[in-house]
Amino acid sequence: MSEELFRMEGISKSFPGVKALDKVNLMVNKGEVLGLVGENGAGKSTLMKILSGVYRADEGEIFIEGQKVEIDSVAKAHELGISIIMQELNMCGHLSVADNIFIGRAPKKGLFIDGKKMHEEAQKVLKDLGIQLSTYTQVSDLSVAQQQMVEIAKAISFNSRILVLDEPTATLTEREIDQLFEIIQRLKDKGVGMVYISHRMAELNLICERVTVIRDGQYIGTRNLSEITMDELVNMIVGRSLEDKYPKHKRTIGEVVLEGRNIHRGSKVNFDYFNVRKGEILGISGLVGAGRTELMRCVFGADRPDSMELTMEGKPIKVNSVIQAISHGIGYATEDRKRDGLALGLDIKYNTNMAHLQQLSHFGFIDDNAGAENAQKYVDLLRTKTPSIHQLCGNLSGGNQQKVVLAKWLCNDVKVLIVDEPTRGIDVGAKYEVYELFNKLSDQGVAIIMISSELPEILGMSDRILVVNQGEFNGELDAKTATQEQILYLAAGYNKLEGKPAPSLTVTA
Amino acid sequence: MATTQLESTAKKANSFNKLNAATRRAIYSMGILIALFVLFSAISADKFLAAANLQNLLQQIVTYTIIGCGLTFCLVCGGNDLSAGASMALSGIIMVSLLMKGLPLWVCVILCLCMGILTGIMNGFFIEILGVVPFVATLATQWVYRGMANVLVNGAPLYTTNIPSEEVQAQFYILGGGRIGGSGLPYSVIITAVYAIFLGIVLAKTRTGRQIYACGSNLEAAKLSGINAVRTRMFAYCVSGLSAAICGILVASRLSSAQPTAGNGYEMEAIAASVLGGISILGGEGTILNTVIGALMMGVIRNGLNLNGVNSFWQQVIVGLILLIAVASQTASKGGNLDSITRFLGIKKK
Repeated sequence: MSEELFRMEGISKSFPGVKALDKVNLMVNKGEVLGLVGENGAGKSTLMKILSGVYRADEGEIFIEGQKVEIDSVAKAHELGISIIMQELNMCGHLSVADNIFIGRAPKKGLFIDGKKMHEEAQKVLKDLGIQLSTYTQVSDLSVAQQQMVEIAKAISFNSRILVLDEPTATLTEREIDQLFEIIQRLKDKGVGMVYISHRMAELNLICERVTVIRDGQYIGTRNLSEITMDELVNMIVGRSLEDKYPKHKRTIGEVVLEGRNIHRGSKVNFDYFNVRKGEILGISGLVGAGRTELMRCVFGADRPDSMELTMEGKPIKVNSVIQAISHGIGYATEDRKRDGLALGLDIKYNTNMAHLQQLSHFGFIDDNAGAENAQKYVDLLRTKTPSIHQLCGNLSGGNQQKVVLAKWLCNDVKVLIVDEPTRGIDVGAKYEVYELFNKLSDQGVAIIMISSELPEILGMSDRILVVNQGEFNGELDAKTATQEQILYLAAGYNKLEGKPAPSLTVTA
Repeated sequence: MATTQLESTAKKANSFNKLNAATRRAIYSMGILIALFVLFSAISADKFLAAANLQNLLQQIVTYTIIGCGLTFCLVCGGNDLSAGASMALSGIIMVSLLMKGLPLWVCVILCLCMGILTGIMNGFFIEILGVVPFVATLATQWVYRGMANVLVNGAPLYTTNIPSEEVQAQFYILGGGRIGGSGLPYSVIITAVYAIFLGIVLAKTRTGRQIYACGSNLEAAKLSGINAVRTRMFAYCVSGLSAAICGILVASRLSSAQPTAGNGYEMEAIAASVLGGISILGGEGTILNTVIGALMMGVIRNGLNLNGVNSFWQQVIVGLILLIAVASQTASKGGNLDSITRFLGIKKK
């Protein structure tokens, strides 16, 4: 039944100073989803860029249906039916869904675009994939998940036989992921071969039969998922065995540090009460868009709430701006490193000291040596992998970028550190290091508020979990006894439908 | 032996690549500058290398060096200032009309500089508080300032001969027109150099300078790091306004008159100088040194062409082309555009 669709053999690629890929093999059958896993920087993206014609391999051959092909440009890759759905979507936000699907090759009537035909055909493509969308909708009005579906539809309309999905679920909610998987199933039935890059093991188990592992540009192997345990797979990926994905740690939890009351902002943020204690990790769970980030942006002074009362160590504080929040010892590592966490065009030194300039300056002048020392100290402390502190942050891998973001706040001696999706898009090894760092911080008495969409992470790392549903807290759970099902139940607000009260641990004052 | 040599060149190339993009472009532009200098020296050594000519060359670039240094602040923080030329004319008019009222020179200079900063505050107000895009806001204020300059003098130039005290007339002329020992290096060149060094230090070494880079590189991240972005960017526009005012004073002084039409298009020359020197128009990178090198390049090109009798219309064409080529080759060093050329021509690689 399984008939080979394409095969990459002995692919090598060097960049100045680095061997990015060394004799890597990969094979995909018709109608198969192959998982491609490896740490960040292992070479997954480079390999896929070679397949899609962005880069040319130094060595190695690519066969499609047994025939050797030369892929020397993106156009050639399209011709051969290869499409790639990047992590960052490339869409023209001002144009309609149909315009985007047929961009650059719209059907014409004489000199003009045949709008009616274009929309009909776009509708046909969408319907084929079971996507319910109006082809007239402007793309910028769509959710990320919907945009991704349009992108897949676009690829399919090219008659793609080979589809690469690069971490497609990183920004999706559970329900959206289900929808995506339905589409993937339809594509499988059509005989499309897919390469699925993801850090989420649970997803691979759901949709892939085989996974190919690469590490540091080396081909490690291809395994049937049914014949291998998770631990063995993780072992292949990181090259060392992780006793546990979440370092076990005994925390000493102290007095309440930060308390928030009556935090309201429009309809999205309506929170009555929360607190976090010294040395505690408070997990904030909920569906994407439930108002978790919005709440924390208010607490951090980035957005102005309609009402908010905060107390820090028992004393009421005013936070009307980020500057005030920082001066009270609050730090906020944002959800999207590239958008609002780091200045990618500046170096590590710069970014590390970005929230720390006040302390580094005398009479308005910056003490460069002290800045360099500070940056170096945190590079060493967090084991950031970089040739020097003068490396541009844009050149670092996701995990190392995240370390720089954390360093930026750590050097300010924060009392409360808010981390928003701290391990999104970073690999297993780096995740573990970030978790260890959180444990170290909690030892030092820092209170950590962790927003996360990954349930195992929330359960594994937090002491207490607050679940958010539609802009309000819908229950508080003890992480030791809570289950994923419980969290999802509360996150989706089922208890409200059933008329049950939200569970609570703390006595609200 | 051969391999070690190869390794060391590779290492050198590598460390060059590691430099930040603006520094790389500064080195690159410096190379072109030296090449141009050598070229013109070879063609007409006696004329080009004459002390008087080199002094002239430096005096010619005073205007766009000063305005360019101010503009660098705006460009680095991710903005732009098209009003600099107009605000320069306005400053010149205000300077001379104040002098005509009989105020002491230093009072006039201070008032005039404050006026320049005020134009910056106005730009900053529209951009930062009202949220108008920098390009559009300063495009509009450009007409406002130019109009105000015209209104103040009803479109006619003001001559410094109308200043009541002849002593003040003479003092004022020295600022922009005077030379060391009567025929040496112009004072305006020294003022420019000192001012450029001062701004260079502000941008590279102070907290505000750091914050300007942060705002230009990633505004959201800067805000969330507790940087007061409004104040920081406002500061950049003020520096640009201040620079325009200084330039206005120097030009009025040298010409012994304030023209409401003065400085027309200077902001564009200044942007050109910055870009030529390797400042990114997208913000977040570049130093004052980039701009100064760029301004020197413009000066050397113009001066050299002049000496060789190229007429001024052709000079415009040549300067435009050099700007294009310089910027295109800067992107080429990133290894980009041969590919796009072949793609444009539809050539298939074998």
